[in-house]
Amino acid sequence: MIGKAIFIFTATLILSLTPGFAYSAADFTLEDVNGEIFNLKDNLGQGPVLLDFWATWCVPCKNALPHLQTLKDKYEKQGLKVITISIDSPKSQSKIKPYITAKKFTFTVLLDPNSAVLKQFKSNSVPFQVLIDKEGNIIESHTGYNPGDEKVLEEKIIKLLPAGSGNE
Amino acid sequence: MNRCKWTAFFAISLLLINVLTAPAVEYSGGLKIRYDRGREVNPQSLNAYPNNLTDRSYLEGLFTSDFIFDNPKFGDKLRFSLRMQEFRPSDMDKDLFQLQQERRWNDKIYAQLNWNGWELWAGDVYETFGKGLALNLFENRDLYFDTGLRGGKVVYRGEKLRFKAINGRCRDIYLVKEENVSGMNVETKPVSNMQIGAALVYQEGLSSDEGAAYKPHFDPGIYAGWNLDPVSIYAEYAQRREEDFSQTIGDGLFTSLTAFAAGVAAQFNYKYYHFGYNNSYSTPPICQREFTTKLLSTHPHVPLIDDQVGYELELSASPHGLLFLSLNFSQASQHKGNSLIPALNQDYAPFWELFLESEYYPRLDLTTRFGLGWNEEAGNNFWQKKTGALSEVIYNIDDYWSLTLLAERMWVDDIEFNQYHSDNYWAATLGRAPYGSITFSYENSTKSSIVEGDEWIGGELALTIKSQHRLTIFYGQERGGLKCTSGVCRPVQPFEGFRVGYEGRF
Repeated sequence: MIGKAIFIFTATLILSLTPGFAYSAADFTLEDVNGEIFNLKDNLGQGPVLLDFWATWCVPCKNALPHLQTLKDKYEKQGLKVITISIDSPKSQSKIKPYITAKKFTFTVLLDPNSAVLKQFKSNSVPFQVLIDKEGNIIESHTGYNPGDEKVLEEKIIKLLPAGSGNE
Repeated sequence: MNRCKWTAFFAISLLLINVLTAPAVEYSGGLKIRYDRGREVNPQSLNAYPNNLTDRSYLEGLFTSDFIFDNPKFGDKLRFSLRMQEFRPSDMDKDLFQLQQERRWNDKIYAQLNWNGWELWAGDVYETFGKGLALNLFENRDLYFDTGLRGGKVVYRGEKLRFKAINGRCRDIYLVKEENVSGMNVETKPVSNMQIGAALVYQEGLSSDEGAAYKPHFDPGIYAGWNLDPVSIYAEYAQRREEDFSQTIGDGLFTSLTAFAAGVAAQFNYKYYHFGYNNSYSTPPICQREFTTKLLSTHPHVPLIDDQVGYELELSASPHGLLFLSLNFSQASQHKGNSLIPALNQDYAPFWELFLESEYYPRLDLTTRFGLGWNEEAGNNFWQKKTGALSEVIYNIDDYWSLTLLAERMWVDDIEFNQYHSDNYWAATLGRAPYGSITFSYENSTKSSIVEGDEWIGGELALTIKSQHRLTIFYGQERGGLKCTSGVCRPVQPFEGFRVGYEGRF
């Protein structure tokens, strides 16, 4: 079995390193902090969607959030949707709303308490970001946060915006 | 054919028809590998450090494949997921946590069908009812903790009504005993800003006493939340019952009040847990900060879910765009009679913590973070006061290069043994977005431990390749401690050597 697994891994690794390789975002349904239902599929089609998985106990995640708010403010009118997904378990879930309100964040915050959607995107750790084009293809996925990552992300978002609308 | 076989026949037929008729199939895969090689402390050794070290070799590999069938014959979407596992724990982990070397081709396997607001799952499933007083299933591989069930679940999410039902059996692994678990959760939203729910969980399983079955038990619960901006309230109550559902063993209550006024967000959480015994399938809110600073969090307070009363107050505010302040105070103890407030007497294992934190952005290229924490914890032959301070500076050298400096200090006053010591931690990280970072860390203590010495030096390289692949290489020493999530903790042995981690998506 290990031999087969190594073969599958090597083949998919080579495939994934091929330029132009993209895979589709898994559709999911989650509730937001106010208990409203959010479905990814219903939010595609108008522009790129940026998903950001985070948690209130994760310092690098919190360092990245102000930059996501900036991206939202800058490109929302061109169709960008910034959706953050908290993987806080029930024990810390109640801290989310006070935190985003005090920080004056206006992006959507969804709850993924069992990390089920995080795992569907094949990640095990946060911060984790996924950039999806309007057709639902995953253009970029990135684990961790280093200052400057948002610049690289912004360059990729601009490429996904309608021609001429992103170069402000 | 009995009912079970008919159900399986129907499910497999549905699966096959859908797989064969779906017009589009998508694939995604993921691989996670961790390999440790070095030495770790053997807690059973009578020798002093470093003669108490023993060889450590640890391998964990997880390969996940997902096939997604869009617009199949029946339903909107069908997902089939399979996770293979290769697991070779260290000898020490085998001894301490009763782990075994495993190679499982179907470590996790499930099929998920979405259909008009319904989700039908068969295979390995997880779920949370309310805030988890009655049921909260999750996997945390770092803790060797997994309460996932092999069975099935049904979820319906409508505007006014939400419904969840789950049934399955959990594997017997560390901290979690094999049990059959069934649960149902109904939630209604009579108006858009209100939720009212009820849950019922039934469990039966094997106790640790040589396979002797213990009494089945039921966990009924109710909860309600009301969001009246700028104030919102939430309350949840659950019981644990045995025998024929009539005998109450214990209960638990969690309430939360959140308010926003004058730019300040305030939250008050209260817990009253007296469930009678710990249940791995129920991990309610612990009402305390779990991660404060690295040093203060190395040996955190472990809440006893079956015997704990306490509260937590958190205030946070952003007076202007460049500054964010937060204050967190929590207090807890075991129950002193029927008292609704935590006790201060050492007999009831009291604990309190105050943590202040600020984030300040003086310039566009500079982020600073400062924290101050105090806590005190007592118990049987144990009484300690700790004070911790942290400062972190992140400097953006240019658009892509950054330097992060972190310094922490903790003063420990061991009142029980009239001893005093302090610990220090420094870390420097040079980052280059989006390719990765390199971190050097140094930690020392003025108290030389016969178990783990007094100095720990380490370095870690994190590389991101083509955004989907992340490689981390650590070499050095790691101090031991407790690793906790959601009140579930496990001791981590001091380690020295190298660790390689890989996480990739295809």
